[in-house]
Amino acid sequence: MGLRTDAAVAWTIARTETRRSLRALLSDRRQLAALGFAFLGMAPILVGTLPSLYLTGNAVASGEVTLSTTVVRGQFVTTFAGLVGLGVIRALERASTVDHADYLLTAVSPRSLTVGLIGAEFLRTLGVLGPVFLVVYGPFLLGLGTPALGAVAVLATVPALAATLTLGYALGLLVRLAGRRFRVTRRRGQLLGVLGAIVLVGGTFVATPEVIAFVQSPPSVLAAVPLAPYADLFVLGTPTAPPVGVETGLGIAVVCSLTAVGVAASIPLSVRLWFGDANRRTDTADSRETVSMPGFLSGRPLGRAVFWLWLRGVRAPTGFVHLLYVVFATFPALGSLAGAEEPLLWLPPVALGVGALFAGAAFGLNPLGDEGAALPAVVLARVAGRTLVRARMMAGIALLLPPALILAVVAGVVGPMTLTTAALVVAFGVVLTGFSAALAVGLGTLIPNFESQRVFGVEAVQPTPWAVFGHLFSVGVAALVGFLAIAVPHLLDTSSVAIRILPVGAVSALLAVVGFVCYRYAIRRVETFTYE
Amino acid sequence: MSSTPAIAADGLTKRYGTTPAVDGLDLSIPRGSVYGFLGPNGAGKTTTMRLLTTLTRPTEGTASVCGDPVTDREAVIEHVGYLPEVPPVYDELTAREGLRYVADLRRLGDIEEHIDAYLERFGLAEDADRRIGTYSKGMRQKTALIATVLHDPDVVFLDEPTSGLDPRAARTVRDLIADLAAEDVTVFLSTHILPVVEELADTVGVLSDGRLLAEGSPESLRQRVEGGEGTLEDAFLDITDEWD
Repeated sequence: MGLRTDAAVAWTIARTETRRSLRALLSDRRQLAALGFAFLGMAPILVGTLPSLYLTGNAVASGEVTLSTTVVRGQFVTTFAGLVGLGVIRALERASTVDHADYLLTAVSPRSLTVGLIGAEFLRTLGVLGPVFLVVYGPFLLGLGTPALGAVAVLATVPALAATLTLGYALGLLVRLAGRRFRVTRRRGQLLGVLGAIVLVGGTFVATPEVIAFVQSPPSVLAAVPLAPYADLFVLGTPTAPPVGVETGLGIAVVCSLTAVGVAASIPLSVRLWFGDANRRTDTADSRETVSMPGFLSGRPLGRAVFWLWLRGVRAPTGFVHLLYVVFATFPALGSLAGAEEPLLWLPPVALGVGALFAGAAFGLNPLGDEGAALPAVVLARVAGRTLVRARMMAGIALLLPPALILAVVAGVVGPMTLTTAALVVAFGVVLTGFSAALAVGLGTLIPNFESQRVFGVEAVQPTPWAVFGHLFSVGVAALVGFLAIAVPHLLDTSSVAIRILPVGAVSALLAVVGFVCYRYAIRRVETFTYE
Repeated sequence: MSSTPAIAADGLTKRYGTTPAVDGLDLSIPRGSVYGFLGPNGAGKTTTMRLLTTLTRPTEGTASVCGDPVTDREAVIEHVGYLPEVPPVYDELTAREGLRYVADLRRLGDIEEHIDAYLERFGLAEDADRRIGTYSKGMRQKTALIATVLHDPDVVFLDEPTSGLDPRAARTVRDLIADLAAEDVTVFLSTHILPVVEELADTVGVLSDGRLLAEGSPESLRQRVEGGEGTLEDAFLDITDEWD
């Protein structure tokens, strides 16, 4: 096929894939809900930031603030590298694959398919980051008094974004090929990706001051990178902007060349990826597995059911990807613990609170959907409701309560907490864990999800966001109220044990009642489940 | 032998909104027989199976399995084994583990020998300790079939059990169905593969748009076409054509 035909086909693929993504997004209530949450979370920050961006533009126009060329160029290089990283992640996640690849590869050239997929990724990213860029950059230009420069900025953004995405795409393909070379299966790759995301987000959270300092004042060496002068296009019209000259032209040339390099490299890499042999689990004698059920579990039906859940979980850990939401939600508590003056004082409630969250969320948030195609067989088994619900509660509790208790008890005894307070914290932690597990199965059976979905790049049947966030919120509030009910009388220096027990006892009783209702509801729901 | 039919339905109806999926179905299937349930795609066969196995609630009418109404799940599930079209297996478990899990769910106790015998019979013994995720479609289907009959049910509902199987695997499934019938188990068999029905079924029912259009022995249905010279396929096409 000729270049013109390939270009036309690539454009068709890019448009179609973008349209499919858009329609998938609009028809997926889960993703729309997640976007809604994200927007609600970001809106206050944005509202608070817009005036300051406007004022910054004002200050730059009046000469009160001078923009350092070195800093702006360094920030551009940092942003460029970040977007390349995003491109790599997207290529690893899904952008370098396409549905019905067998059909497409026998219908169009790999060149047009590769360029089409990169084009689709470009359009999708532009659709997501474009409005953000306009919202952030617009007030700055308005403050600067040169809104017309917005057009220049938009024109400058398009090639820069294209360069980052194509480079990221090519590097993503290289990583996938390396994974194949080193026999990393898809599932292991997904797990590595999830662990990488935890480290990245957790690291950013822990080192927030350092990250902000780096962004505000990047190392001057970055300004010397050949593509750095491209940044001058974004500050055109400011009093201290460097004149557009040979250096800027060189920056533009470098950015445009990188796009060409990215595309040129992506085509042969895509061919190698698509037409090579993927790593699969091999069907050799080595792949036989025999796992004995531990004696302490095999004696009772509940123990046996818990064992099967654990075994399935270990072998299909992608089913736990929804726990990333919980991981991210607990970072503030863990960050506070790390920075606390007396960490041993905070360790018991944090350990028990986090343990309770995971105990419920790990196995309980989608009991019906997690059974997949086997659900009819499970539902039609004798005493299915009790077996399934209790097993899903106990699978999480048995795994997470003991370590949380050990941490809490040790810190309670060794740390500055009084023994009475420590005992109350531990007792409430046990109640909270039971409540979390019961609430999880209640929510999970109330709003089950049976469809496999992609979450954080991992394709699996996951709980609905309503179940995940509802559980997260409810257990978080319950933990806060319960631990406050212990802390407040302690801080008031109440010596009466009865007065100290009463508030937390009342909270515990309420949680026990709500938890029991959830537990009974879950059993009833499983036992009467029908396909309607 | 009890005179209560294995499966009985009287005006069984299921509507989704105003659209009927099953419309006034009457059935009376004696114990120990094989009932071939035929119908074009979307005729309501799977919905009927779900109604009879308690997995869907009827909008109107009544039905029972071994005398127990389908509204009483606890009673009905003691009698039935159901193999849906998508094999109900866990990819992350081995076949042996998956069957032990099913045995645990059904509180069957230690039935290791029973499991081994089935694995041997279905030619899965060699691969029983490999994860089901590595299995071929036929091996998955055979594993699911074992799980369906492991608890020795009185009535077995099979939804397209031979679909996509190679001839040898399909033969194994057909032999099992024949053996089940010989052991007085009632088999409710939904399939598009008409020779299977022709070979095994005592009675054939033809469903279209949720209504039972014809019912009788394969021979009696064949008689309806071209003076009895046609095949069951001819009869099926003729009956569903008439209805269209």
